[in-house]
Amino acid sequence: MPRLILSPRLAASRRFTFLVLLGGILAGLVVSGGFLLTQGMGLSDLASQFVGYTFGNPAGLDQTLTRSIPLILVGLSVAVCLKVKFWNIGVEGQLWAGAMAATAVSLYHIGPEAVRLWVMCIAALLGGGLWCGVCALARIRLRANEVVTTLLMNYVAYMLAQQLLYGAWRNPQDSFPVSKVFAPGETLALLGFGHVHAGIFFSLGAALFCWWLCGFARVGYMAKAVAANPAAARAVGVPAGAVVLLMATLGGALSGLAGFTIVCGEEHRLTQFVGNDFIFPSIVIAYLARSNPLGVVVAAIAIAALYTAGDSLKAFYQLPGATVLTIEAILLLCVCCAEFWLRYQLGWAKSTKVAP
Amino acid sequence: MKLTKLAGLALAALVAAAPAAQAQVKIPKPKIAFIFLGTATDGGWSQSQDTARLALAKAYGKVPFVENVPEQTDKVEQAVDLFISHGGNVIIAGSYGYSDAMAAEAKAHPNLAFINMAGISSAPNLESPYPKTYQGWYLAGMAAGYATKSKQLGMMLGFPIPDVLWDINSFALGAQATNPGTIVHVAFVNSWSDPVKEAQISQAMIQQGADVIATDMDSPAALVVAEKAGKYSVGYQVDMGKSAPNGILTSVVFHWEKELLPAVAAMKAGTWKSQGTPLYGIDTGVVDIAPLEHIPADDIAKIEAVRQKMIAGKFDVWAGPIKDQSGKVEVPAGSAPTIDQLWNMNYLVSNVKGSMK
Repeated sequence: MPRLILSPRLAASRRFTFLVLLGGILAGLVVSGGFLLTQGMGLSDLASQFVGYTFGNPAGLDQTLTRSIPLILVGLSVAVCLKVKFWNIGVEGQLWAGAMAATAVSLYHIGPEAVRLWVMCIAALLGGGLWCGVCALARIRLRANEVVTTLLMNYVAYMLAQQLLYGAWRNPQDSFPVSKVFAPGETLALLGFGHVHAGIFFSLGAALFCWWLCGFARVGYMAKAVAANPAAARAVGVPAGAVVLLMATLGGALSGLAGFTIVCGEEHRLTQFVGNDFIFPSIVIAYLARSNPLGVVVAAIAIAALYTAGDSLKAFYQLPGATVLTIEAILLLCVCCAEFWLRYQLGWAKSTKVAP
Repeated sequence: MKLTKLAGLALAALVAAAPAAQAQVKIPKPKIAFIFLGTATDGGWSQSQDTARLALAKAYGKVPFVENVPEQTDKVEQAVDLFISHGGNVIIAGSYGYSDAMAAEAKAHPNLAFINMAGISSAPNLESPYPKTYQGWYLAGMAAGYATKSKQLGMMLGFPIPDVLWDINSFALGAQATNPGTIVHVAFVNSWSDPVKEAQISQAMIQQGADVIATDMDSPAALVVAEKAGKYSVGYQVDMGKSAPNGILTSVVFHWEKELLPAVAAMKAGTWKSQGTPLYGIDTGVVDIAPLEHIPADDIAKIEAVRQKMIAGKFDVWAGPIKDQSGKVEVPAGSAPTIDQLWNMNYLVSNVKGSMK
């Protein structure tokens, strides 16, 4: 009798990998669609909200693109760290650190005014990089698990921001827990399409840089070796610790840059909420993109569109805010499940007849 | 796409050329949308606004809303843009912290009407109305003065901004008027809504000897604690009597619909003009107090007499002399502050104990 058996797949072709990913996403969309239909939405509602509004309507497209700016950066942050198998669960903390560093430059008038915005940008990169770099150092030197350290550093940054907003940085005009508004020269210019600001160039530039770094630079090659087998990499002379430290610091710096784009491009001040709700989407984006920096751009825009559609579901269909989170989770789960087929294959057991 | 862009450019040119010509906004077919700080059923701030939303829905059809929009520019703008792109032309929001975002949106959409309850920004097409909450709080202070035995009251508030300082100061003045020597312990929660902290503060104030707890917050949490301890309480925004049936004296309540219904009707008629940051008094009914309870009938009559005087415009809460905590005269005898001076209030009156920090 022929039997179905599961056996490990030794290597999956690029085409097959892509098809599996696509299949996972499609399955996720179908399940999500089914879920929304049970929540009282019609098929035409789904089409108009998810496709028509998020991409076809100027206001919707504006929201999608503006939202995607920090999402691309935090997605890259997780993706770059994953290149060395460093799980960065701390994008919010790094984003806060970057936002606080940029705000400090504005509040204390650091650097000449003509280049203040660039000083803020560099400060944000350093702030975010430091926040993640410390965790990488702790892993290399103390073997501290980065999932725990990066996660906990979120709270440290958040509490520090609250401390500053309720203390030294509190708006002197009305005692509201927000910083003073930045000077016009300290903000990112609008590009003439709704709220889309110059931060989008930072995001796309960062994606290109990461793509080059991971795909073509020597460090990227070393990172692959470290990720595949740290001991073997070290044995052939790759400075494994330094590579991990470098990639993790870069990842943190990218999240810091996301903080910079939010305070300089959208809020024009530090508020209590700039770092909220980035951890989960950042992981989903990096995972959907399979850590490919250019894929991150596509995935981030798709997740941004999901949020845009989610807003209108909330307003016009009275669905709770958790709906978007649910859909994100469904997509992530479906892609995870699909990946099973990259490692295993289904086949018929070949029965060999043994002569009696 | 090209056409929209062209139209946008033309519009921008028009606005730049004639900024004053936009003074009146006509909305023949109002499509209203609401943006709430809390949930529509928060039992306070947003719920009082939701009552107005339901009244508007009765008159103009379905009024969509979004809840829990934080006081953050991009989140507010996203919500406003969402409604506008779906045909909304009367955008009504309700928080102080939305002021900057609403001003930016009003500027970007000069032909639509914007109202931000409790905001401080204004434009030809953006009005930020607020009730004279101090009238209600003065009356509530009178009631608290009659009710207290320990001569100590407690009140918690969000942030020490002028229109919140009105509330604590008028409450203290009202208590002082009916029970000289009464002091009010004050605490600023540094949030508009933090039920856990509100309950803790309420508990602490009761331990300090306060026997009337008044809340200026968006939830009835403080009242629940006072009720359990057998103390009196004063609610805010909606009648919070359900949360403290045995101890509530009254609630300072909002009736936003009394301001919003005429405003939208005027928009429809083409006669609406932003009043800037107008204050609506107890004479308009936008602010009032819930029925007084748990104090003697003749005390209620005395409070009602003052209320009637307020409605007739013959009673000013801020009539001098008013001294601040340090004893400095803020309002000299025989005078009263102007509206501008009220909007710049930055002190606590002499019988308030605690600081603005």
